[in-house]
Amino acid sequence: MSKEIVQRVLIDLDRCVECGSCAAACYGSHSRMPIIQSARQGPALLPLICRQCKAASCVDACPVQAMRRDDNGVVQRALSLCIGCGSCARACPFGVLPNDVTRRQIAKCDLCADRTADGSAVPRCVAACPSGALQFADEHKAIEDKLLEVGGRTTGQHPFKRR
Amino acid sequence: MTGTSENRLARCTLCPALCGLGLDWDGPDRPRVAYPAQAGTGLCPRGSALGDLLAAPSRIRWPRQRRDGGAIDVKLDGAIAAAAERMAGGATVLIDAASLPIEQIVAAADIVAVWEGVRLCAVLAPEDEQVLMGVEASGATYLADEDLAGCDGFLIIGNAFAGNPRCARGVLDARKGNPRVPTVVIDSGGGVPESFASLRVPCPAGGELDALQSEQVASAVEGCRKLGVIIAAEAGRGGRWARVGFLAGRLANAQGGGVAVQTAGANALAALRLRVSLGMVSLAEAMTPAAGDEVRVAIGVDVLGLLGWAGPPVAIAAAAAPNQTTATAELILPTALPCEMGGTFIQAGTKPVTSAALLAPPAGVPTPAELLGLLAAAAGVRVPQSDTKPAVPERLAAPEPPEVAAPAIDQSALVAAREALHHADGALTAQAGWQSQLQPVPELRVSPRDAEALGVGDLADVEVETESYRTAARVRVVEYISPGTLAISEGDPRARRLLSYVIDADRDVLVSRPGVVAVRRAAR
Repeated sequence: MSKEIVQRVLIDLDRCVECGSCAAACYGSHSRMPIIQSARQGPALLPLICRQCKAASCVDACPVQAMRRDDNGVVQRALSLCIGCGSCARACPFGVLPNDVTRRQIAKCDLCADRTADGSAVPRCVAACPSGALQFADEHKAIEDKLLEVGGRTTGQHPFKRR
Repeated sequence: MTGTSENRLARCTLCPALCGLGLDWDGPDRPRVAYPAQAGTGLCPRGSALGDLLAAPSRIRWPRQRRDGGAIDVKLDGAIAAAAERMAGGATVLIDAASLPIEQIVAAADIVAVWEGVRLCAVLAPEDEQVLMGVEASGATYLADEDLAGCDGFLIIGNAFAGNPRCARGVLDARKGNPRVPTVVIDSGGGVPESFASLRVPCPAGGELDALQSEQVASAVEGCRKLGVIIAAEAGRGGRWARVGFLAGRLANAQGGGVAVQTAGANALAALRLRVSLGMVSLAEAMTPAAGDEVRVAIGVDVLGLLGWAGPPVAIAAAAAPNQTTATAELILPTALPCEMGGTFIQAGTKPVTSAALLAPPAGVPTPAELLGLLAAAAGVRVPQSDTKPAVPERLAAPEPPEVAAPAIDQSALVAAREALHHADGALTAQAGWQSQLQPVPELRVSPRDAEALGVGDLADVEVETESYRTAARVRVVEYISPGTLAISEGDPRARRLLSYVIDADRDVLVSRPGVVAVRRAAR
């Protein structure tokens, strides 16, 4: 049975300066796919990434089990199995899965598992944030500090359009 | 991580933050930037773009020569010989000094000093040059990012958080400790700092100087014992930045603080000091049409893109990637990217910081100083060898800048806005994958009232026209821009042509004024 995620990417809206560093860092490090989308929330430009739901609709929707939860509780996409059908993108209630039909593959946030799995590093978006708006912290800190979880808006998949 | 060692860290040199950089590889031909393990310093989209640029398909790796309406590849030694011959009747060499280490600037100056008929211009963005001259004249202390958290009040002029996103951390850390820290913002472009302001000073296009001298600003900061003034001097404001820098510096002095100027390029201040102390020509003089056979040679600087000019063509252009200047040059030569050169950068006016090269340039691609040395040798000049370690350039004894009248404009006016997305005119960063995907056309900021009057909303495609140019843009409706003022991304060469520079010979500067603008919905 996989573990539950303890640490998540959290955003302090009072520190976001809309520089796009998070999205640029993610793009360059994940096969150049636009994983972090941006949506406007008042003065802040929110990076929208996977919420790593406990009951993940995308995992249920995937017809080929390309979406799966790993041993650390992180929902990941198996590149070799993904057929680009877009079922996961449509199932996601938060609209945070970009549907890149041109490449017939769905890019997905994996919390930079290659560097966070052993606890030695933070996701690249957090490392790139120059203003300190993004943190990689557990949920209790979020409640304590009144931080808004990243990806908590229902928006369209295009960076700027809304449903 | 390639590019790092215990003592020599590679750094992004595109702004004064000098963020640390590392390198990883997705394969033998796909370098990418590596990020620190922990949060702390960050890296903005410009720095992130550097990995893409190292192996970009558009990278200029060998010379090309225009012939019969096209361009053909030529060998380096032949290109160098042809360039040297072309320069025989006199030449002005322009280098992108703001992003270069001191060693490159000094080496270039040493070469030109013994090369008869050749002059050198160390280029920095005209607005940066003007505001820095003003701050130098004021005698103000310069602040680095880490100094800002100790300030008890801030005056932010222009979109400084886009000029250097890391400077925001210091402002926000100061406010976390004391939410009542005054944060006064003057920005006719309606940038992000406005949304953090405790006082937004109304500022129409080109109105920064008048806003700075207002009673509102004086009373807002009078209680500060250490005022942090943070300036990003943006284009299209009418050439008043020297006076802004001077008065802002005087205000910082009076309130026990200092000034942080967020320039395009980490070594802009050092480059300006060296340009004056080593007797190089100004950019205005370098770009003034010359009589006779003198040619211009642009090394690592997209001077036409920066100034928004279509011509006259620069005869010889060396660049890492194609740009507006190489598009019309007779001879195109390769040169290194800023991140492919190590050396010394001066932070906050006095602090030398060493940066290692992230990666060596590709084989056969010279640094600007090496290229100038090759050209000089081909011209028969005995190139000096120098092992002297460059010193921190001394502060300039600059005079108080004169008053400049406010631009008189009674219609909708267009100004340029700094973004964290692009460096300078975008010549380098526009080649990066994320930037080109995210912003294929420049962004046009309009107020809600102007958007309603134009019949456009967020993300509408429009055509923007001034007397000098017309281009497509995408609308972004922003709350804090004055009605009647519109702001376009300055990191796009098409946008710069809307606000192209003119030479002010009296003041020996280049000036970009707010442009009378017409905006129409794009035809479907």
